[in-house]
Parts: sequence; C-alpha cells; structure tokens
Amino acid sequence: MNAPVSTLASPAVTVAPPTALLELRNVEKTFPGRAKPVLTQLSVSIPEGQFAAIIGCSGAGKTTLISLLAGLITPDRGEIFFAGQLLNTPGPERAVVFQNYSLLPWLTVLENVSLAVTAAAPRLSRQAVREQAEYFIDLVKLSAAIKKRPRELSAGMRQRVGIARAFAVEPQVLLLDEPFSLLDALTRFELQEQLVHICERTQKTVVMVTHDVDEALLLADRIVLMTNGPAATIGGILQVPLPRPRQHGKILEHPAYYPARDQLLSFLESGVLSLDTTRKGQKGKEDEDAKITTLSPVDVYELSRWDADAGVRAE
Amino acid sequence: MIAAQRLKACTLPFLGIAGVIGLWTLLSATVSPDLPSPLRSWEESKRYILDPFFKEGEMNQGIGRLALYSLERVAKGYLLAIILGTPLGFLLGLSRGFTQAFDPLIQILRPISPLAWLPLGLILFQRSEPAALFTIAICAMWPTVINTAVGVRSINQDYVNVGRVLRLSRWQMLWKIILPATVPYLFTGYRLSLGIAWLVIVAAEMLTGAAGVGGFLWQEYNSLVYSHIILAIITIGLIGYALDRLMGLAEMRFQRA
Ligand SMILES: Nc1ncnc2c1ncn2[C@@H]1O[C@H](COP(=O)(O)OP(=O)(O)OP(=O)(O)O)[C@@H](O)[C@H]1O
Ligand SMILES: [Mg+2]
Repeated sequence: MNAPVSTLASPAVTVAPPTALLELRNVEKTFPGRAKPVLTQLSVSIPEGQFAAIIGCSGAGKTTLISLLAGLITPDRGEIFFAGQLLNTPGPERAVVFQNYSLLPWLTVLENVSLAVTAAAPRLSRQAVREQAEYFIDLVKLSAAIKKRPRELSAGMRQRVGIARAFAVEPQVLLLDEPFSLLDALTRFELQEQLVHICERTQKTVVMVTHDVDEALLLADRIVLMTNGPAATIGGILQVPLPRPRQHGKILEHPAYYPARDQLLSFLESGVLSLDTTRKGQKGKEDEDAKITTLSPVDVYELSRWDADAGVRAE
Repeated sequence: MIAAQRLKACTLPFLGIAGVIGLWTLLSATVSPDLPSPLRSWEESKRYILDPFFKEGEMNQGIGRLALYSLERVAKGYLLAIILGTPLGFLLGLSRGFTQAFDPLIQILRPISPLAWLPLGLILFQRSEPAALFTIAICAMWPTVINTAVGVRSINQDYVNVGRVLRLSRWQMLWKIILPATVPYLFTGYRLSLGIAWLVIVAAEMLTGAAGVGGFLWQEYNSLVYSHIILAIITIGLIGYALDRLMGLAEMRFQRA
C-alpha cells in the first residue's frame, strides 16, 4: 500500500525480455484438488536450436512440463515465454509427440498424419499434403501400414505414427514425451539417427523427455534433471560434454561419456547430482541428504569439470 | 464339453418357449376362459400369417402389410427424433449454458408417456397422422439427446489436445474430432431411440385408429377377436427384437476397441 506503483509492476515481466526461444520463469503448477503443486519454482531457458533432454523419475512431472510448453495447460504462477511472447495457447509451431501417442482411432495412419499436415499448412494442395504425409510415414518405416487404423497397430507402431505426425508439421519446436520408449533397439537407433539428422539440418529446437540416459547423452546438448515429485523442480542441468556430430558406438569411446553417464544414473537413483562420482559409494546417507539442501535450483556443470573427471577415469 | 454347451444353448430357449405355451394353455383352460388357447389362436390367425399381404379392407389385412404400415410410421417418427435429437445433444454436450438452461426441462419432459403427448399432438396438428409422428419423435428423442450429450462431454481429452496443438478452428474441431469421437455414443442413442419409437407406435395407432399393427390390435379387441390380439403382440415383439438386433449390428460396427 505504501508503494503502489512498484507493487503493480510485475517484476518477472519487466526485469528482462527473454532471449531464449523457450523460457520458463518460476513456474508453478498445481492440479485441481491436489494439495501440493506438481511443479514449483521451475526456471529453465532453452535457446533456439538447442536439444534439451529432460530426465526424472516417474511421476516427477515431466509430462506436465511438456504440456506447459505446448500450451495445453497454463501455469498457476510464473511465466512461460515462447519467442519473446507470453505463451498461452497451443499451436502447430510447437508439435508434440504425446507419451500415450494420442492418435485419432477413427483415422488411418495416413489420415492421422495428413490431418496434421493440412492443419499446419492449409494452403497445401491435396497432392502435396499426401506426399508430405507419406514422406514422414516412410521416415518412421510405416509405409506398409499406411491404410491401417491405430487399433490394428502395435504400441511401438503407434508411437512411430505419433512421431511422424509431429515431424510432418515441420514445427519450430519439437516437444517429445518419451518418443522412443517402446521401440526395439534397432528401430530406436534408426529413429534417433533420423532425429539427429533432422535437427542438425533444420536447426530445430527440441525438448525431449526420456528415461534412457544413453539416449539423452547421444541426442542432447543439455540434460535437465528433475527432482522427485511432488513439488518437483529442476535438480540440476548437465551440459553434455560430447562433441558433434555424435554417432552410436563412437560416443561411448569419448572419455567424458561414462563419467557423465554415472552422474546421471546416480542422480536418478538418489535424486542428487553429485560432483564426484568416484567417492559416491562410500558416502553416508546424511551426506547425500545434506547435498539436496545445498544444491541450488540450477547447477550447470561445464565442460571443463568433465574433462577433469574424464582424465581421472582414462588412466 | 463344448458340444454339450452348444446343445444346451440351442435347446434351452425352446424349452422356455414351450413352458410359456404350456402356461398359456393352462390359463386358457382354467382361470381365463376368454383367452384363446394356443391352438385356437393359430387356427384363427394363420391366414394373416400364411398370406401376410392380403387386403380386404382398412383393418382386415395380412399381418405383413399391417407391420409395413407401422414400420413406415415408425421410420418417419424415428427419423424426426434423431434429426432433432442429435443436434440438441451436441448443443447440450458442448455448451454449459445451454445445459443449464435446458437440462431441467428435458428431465421433466423425458418421463412423459406417449399417451399424454398424443392428445397434445392432435391439438397442435389437427390430424392424426402428424400427431402420431410428433408423439413418436418426442418420446423417442431422449436417448439420442442424452447419449450424444454424454458422448460429447466424455470425449477423451487427448483427442481434443491433438486438435488444440494443430490449432483447428472450432468448426474443424467439431467435424474432425468431436463428431467422430462421439459416434459410438450416438449409435447407442439411436438404438435405444428406435426401441422406444417402436414401443410408442402401438399406443399412437391405438389412439388414432390408424392402420397398422397397433390399430389392428385395438380394433380386434373391440370386435372380440382375441386370438388376433395375441397375433399382434407376438408380431410387435418379433419386429422390435429384429430392429434392436439390426441397430445392435450397426452399433458394433462403430464401436471401437
Ligand atoms: N490431469 C491431471 N490431474 C491431476 N493430476 C495429474 C494430472 N496429470 C498429472 N497429474 C499428477 O501429476 C504428477 C506428475 O505427472 P506427470 O504425468 O507429469 O509425470 P511424468 O514425470 O510424466 O511421469 P512418467 O515418467 O511416468 O510419464 C503425478 O503425480 C500425476 O498424478
Ligand atoms: Mg510422463
């Protein structure tokens, strides 16, 4: 009441315009009827062209985060910016691969993908729509099932239709919620390579949820680690220290690979991102608990640190 | 083992029917002497069954011909019911305001008997045929209305989210997402509505005296030919069952895994 002007001006909006393509600031989300928020104090920014992987335990709120970025749900607190604007509606420039595929069961594979193509590019001719849809269906190796309906497909095939549909709208941002979780190793390899390829060629911004640590290391520039829910937030951010282009098998030989991998796994196990993996085994429980409290919401481990770790391991 | 079960499944329904015929015979021989025995019913009705399309006057026609009149009337009334009921159901499912405005009214109109609607129809339309159609439509409409509304309301949010991410217009959302997602509910509503339309036809024909199975039934009651009442009842039951099975097939066709 004493200083009405300053209380009226919302500091989060006026402080600095966002520079990253996607930016979350102190986002909090509580589902109706829940006492605790799912996500709280969540801040992260994803620059254009970056590939960010999100790792966290089941129920941490990763899908919720994807829905927020898609604009399907709105935060209760904080802001989300997309391309400098407050993000408040979904749109085809931010395509989503849903965790549960969300295919329309009354449409065939081709129709599911075509619907997305038409919606994103209404001016395209019928022929062009069909060609584009077929191209992306072929990309996920489903040309043989093009006339089938989702219920006739295996779960992995449905997942691939979801991928084709998201890619086919040629979005600026791809939001992928565990897109490869149900695929066999070979198909997953192929699709990962395709994704790498597409991202490198078109400079897409990607946010991908995954449980697969190796997948995150193969694909991501940055790995965002989420703490356990409820009231999950970002427990740490890992800058992936591996040079591009990355290849299956090849990256395993990089000295920074296994230290990074161990860090991620130990985070998933304990919810703590420890600085030194070699001493982890001997650490007492109290030690780890203490770590949580001292850890700042966003810790960025830079390449230099990894190089040092890698040196130890290489000997 | 399986063969024995098959045999059971085939024979038990006949045992049931035989039991009922036995009871019928017993009743007609003891407490209700006016009730014609099964054999007498058959003797007096067989002409109507064996030559189902003869015509000897407005009310003296083969049962097949009478059933066709009734079916035609039901078809018209039923068509009217689903043409009115489907959009009404969509409006109720889509708009909260519309629901708040009309749901209480619908709950009140729904349990009203066709016997109550028919006189109102006669007042409204002056003639018996449109009054009968009005009665069929207004009684048969509700399952379609309610099932459509429920279907629209219980649409999987995932499908809506797909449409939102693609930024479909309201119109596209309705045609490409909401309508196809509601089709199974729609057909359940259509099947139930047809059942009611067929129930209502008898009452409507009895009151208006129109030619048809229901009109025939009432006329034969008044002329004391009781065996023909039984003929009419059995015909109504069989046709109702056939209609329900047919719609059941259509419904299955649209039901999704
Ligand atoms: N629509 C909703 N209404 C209420 N609670 C929800 C809703 N969606 C998610 N939740 C709750 O929010 C929490 C986080 O869910 P979310 O789906 O985001 O987890 P997740 O990290 O994606 O998990 P997983 O790895 O298993 O996919 C869970 O406790 C869940 O029960
Ligand atoms: Mg999830």
